[in-house]
Amino acid sequence: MSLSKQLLFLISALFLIIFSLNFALSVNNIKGYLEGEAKIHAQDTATSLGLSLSSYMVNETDPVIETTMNALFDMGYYQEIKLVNVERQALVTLTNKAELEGVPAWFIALLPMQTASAESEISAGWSIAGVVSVTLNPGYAYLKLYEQVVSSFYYSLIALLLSIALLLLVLRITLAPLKKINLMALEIANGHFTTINQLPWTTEVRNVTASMNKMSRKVETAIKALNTKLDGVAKKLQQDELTGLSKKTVFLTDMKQMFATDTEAFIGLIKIDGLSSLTKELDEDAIDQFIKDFAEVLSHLSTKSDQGDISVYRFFGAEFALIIREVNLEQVAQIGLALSSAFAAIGERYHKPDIVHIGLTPFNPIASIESMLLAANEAYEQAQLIGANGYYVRSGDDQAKDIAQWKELVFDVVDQRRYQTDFIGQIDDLLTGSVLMQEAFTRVSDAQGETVAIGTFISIAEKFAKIVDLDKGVTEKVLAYLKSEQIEHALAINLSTRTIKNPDFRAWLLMQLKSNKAIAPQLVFSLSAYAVGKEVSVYKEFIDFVHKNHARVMIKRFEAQSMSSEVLKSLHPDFIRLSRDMSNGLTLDQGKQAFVETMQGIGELLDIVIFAENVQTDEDFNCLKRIAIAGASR
Amino acid sequence: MLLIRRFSVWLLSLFALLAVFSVPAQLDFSAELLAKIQSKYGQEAYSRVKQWQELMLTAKQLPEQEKLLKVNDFFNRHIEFADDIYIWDVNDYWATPLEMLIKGAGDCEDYSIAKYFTLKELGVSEGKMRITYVKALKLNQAHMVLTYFSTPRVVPVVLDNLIAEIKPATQRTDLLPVYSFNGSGLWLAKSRGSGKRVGESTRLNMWTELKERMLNNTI
Repeated sequence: MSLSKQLLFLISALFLIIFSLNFALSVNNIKGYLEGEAKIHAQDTATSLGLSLSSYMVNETDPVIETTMNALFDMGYYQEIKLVNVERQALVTLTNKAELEGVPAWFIALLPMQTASAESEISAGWSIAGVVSVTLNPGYAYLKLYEQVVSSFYYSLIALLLSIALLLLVLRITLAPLKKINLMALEIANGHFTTINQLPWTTEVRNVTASMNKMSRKVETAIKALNTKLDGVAKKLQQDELTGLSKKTVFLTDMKQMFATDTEAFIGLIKIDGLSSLTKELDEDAIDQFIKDFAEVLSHLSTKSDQGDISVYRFFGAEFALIIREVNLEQVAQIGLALSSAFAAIGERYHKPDIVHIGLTPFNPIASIESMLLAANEAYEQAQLIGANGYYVRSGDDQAKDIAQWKELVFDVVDQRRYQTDFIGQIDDLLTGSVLMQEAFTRVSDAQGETVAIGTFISIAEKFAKIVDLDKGVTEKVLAYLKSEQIEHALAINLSTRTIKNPDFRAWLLMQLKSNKAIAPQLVFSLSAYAVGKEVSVYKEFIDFVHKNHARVMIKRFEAQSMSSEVLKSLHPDFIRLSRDMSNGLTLDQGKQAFVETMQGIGELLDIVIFAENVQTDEDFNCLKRIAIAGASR
Repeated sequence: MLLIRRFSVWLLSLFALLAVFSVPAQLDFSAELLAKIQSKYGQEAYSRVKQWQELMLTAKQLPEQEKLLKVNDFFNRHIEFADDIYIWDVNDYWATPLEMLIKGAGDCEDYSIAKYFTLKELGVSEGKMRITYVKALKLNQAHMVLTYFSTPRVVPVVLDNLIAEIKPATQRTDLLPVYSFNGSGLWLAKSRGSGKRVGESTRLNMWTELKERMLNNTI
């Protein structure tokens, strides 16, 4: 029962008691007053009647006596007036029936009143002539009392109702801030650090509100501090210190994402061949400056180029890489040429006519990262053959045939449902060792029974819009598995951006979640951090939809550069699985440790469970335990 | 049967005991009070009170007619007639018999009340006594006397402070009767009129109260 209801009942009960007592006392007082007045009335009547009759009492039979008594009696106030002589023999007796009209019988039974009567001795000259006794008609007093009680009852009732109404109003005003504080606490729990600006006037509630405001601000400051720390750690992990370009790890993540989403792109490999001879001529600072100048050209290209979207990476020392998206062969050749001339200009400044060679190769969704880098290297070697600061672009003609075969396989497998769903990547609770989550993994075999590279399969499915059917099929299999196997832990399902945006899938999923309410909390939709970061608003809408239907969400492959804690706060996923790169070599890398610790801190504040993936060594595993990460897969 | 009788005797004894402690059986002024009267108001005041007390003790066994004579004579002899304004400095003051005896003076009301009270103490029934408002025809002023009825229908005798002798009312042509009260009723009405809290007091209580007032009086 709410506090306001408890207070309302308690105070209303007190009011009722006070009003009832007051009512009872006032009724009793009225009754006492009326009885007293009646007594005086009776005595006065007896005395004055005695005085009036005394001069006629010499003759007991004088008709004036009865006439005088009748005149008084007929006024109606009296039930009986009786005159007796000195021997107590009745001379005149006048009686009325005690009729009590307008007063209910229960009232008379409940509040019996004493019948007022009095007597007075009558003297005739020196002698005592008799006694006159007067009894009042109680009807009049009863009627007065009844009227008083009724009006007093209604006034008390009105006063009681008004008091309760006033009380209700005061309670509502006084307790309204408590509701606000509750909402505020919920907001804070959800990561929105609001404050209540208008402090309530009740001292205790005002103090609580002020404390809550203080706490909200402190938590917000803590989050901001963690965010700043995260940014610093992310920079260290992702950026080359000298040039400010992204490191190779970022290149690998971007490449993986390109496999997952169908992207037209070229991969470039740039090596400063002249660096080794320069190091012999220049000191360390000059070399650093040279590399900075070189990187500047690439950075300039990535920000200024109107041809496609260019990302630049420094692998190590003299080796750089490019990912050029949304361009054709011709445009890439132009970029190659522009770079070649820019590098030649730098070379001239250092009196080195031949310092760099650039190899460019088209992105192949059915190849591996290694083979792509190998192809880029081949192009680089071709560029070396072309001449000073040369560039070479490979054509992608040889890929077309392979893709056609892949398309056929993908359509066949998805339409015929010739894929298997395994459950892998078991995440265990680091404290208890119990299973927390498994991930649904799709396995596909080709016509020869050979296992197909799933990354390429997904990439092709995405390219030809088959991914939605595949995701739907996998979700169905997971639901069926959950229903048949009676497992307690959660199962993660990977969904692609295309699937998430698909309205048919959304409608279908809603139906599935509604008809499987009991197991919905065990379903965890796993979303790649890279994809989420690209389209935050789309994913936020999806995450809200999932939460509304009691299922849960995990952001996987979470890296330092994935998203800020502000974005995380707005998305509010249930789980974050850090990328395997973040836990591998954790023990030896202070930067990675700082990142994982910060993520754990943010997770605790925002109520997000943090997992690690594919932990290799026991040292790293123990390190994660020390940081108090909730769970990890080995 | 024996048990019941024993119980009844025990119960009666208890009631008797209660009655002794709750109501003063007779007016018996303490030596302390008398000494105080003597030191404060002098020998005469002391002597009057002492004689009054002796009268109440000695006259108890006398026939009623003698009681009337003794009491009427006692007050008419020892008390001087004076208006309240001279004695008490107020227009109307109803003194207790003790107050009147200490002062040695009183008005007609004080005489009547003192006589009524003393006779009642001596065992005369209240039903036989009335305090009567009269007009003193020769003096042409309002007056009060005590009347005694040996039986209800007879002509009463009048105990008056204007004359020493007790005479039948028919012989008192100097007085015109107006109205009579029994003593309790008069005392009750008078007390109510003077603002005293008169609620459910019975007649018995009125006299008890008067007695207590006299015994405990801070004179």
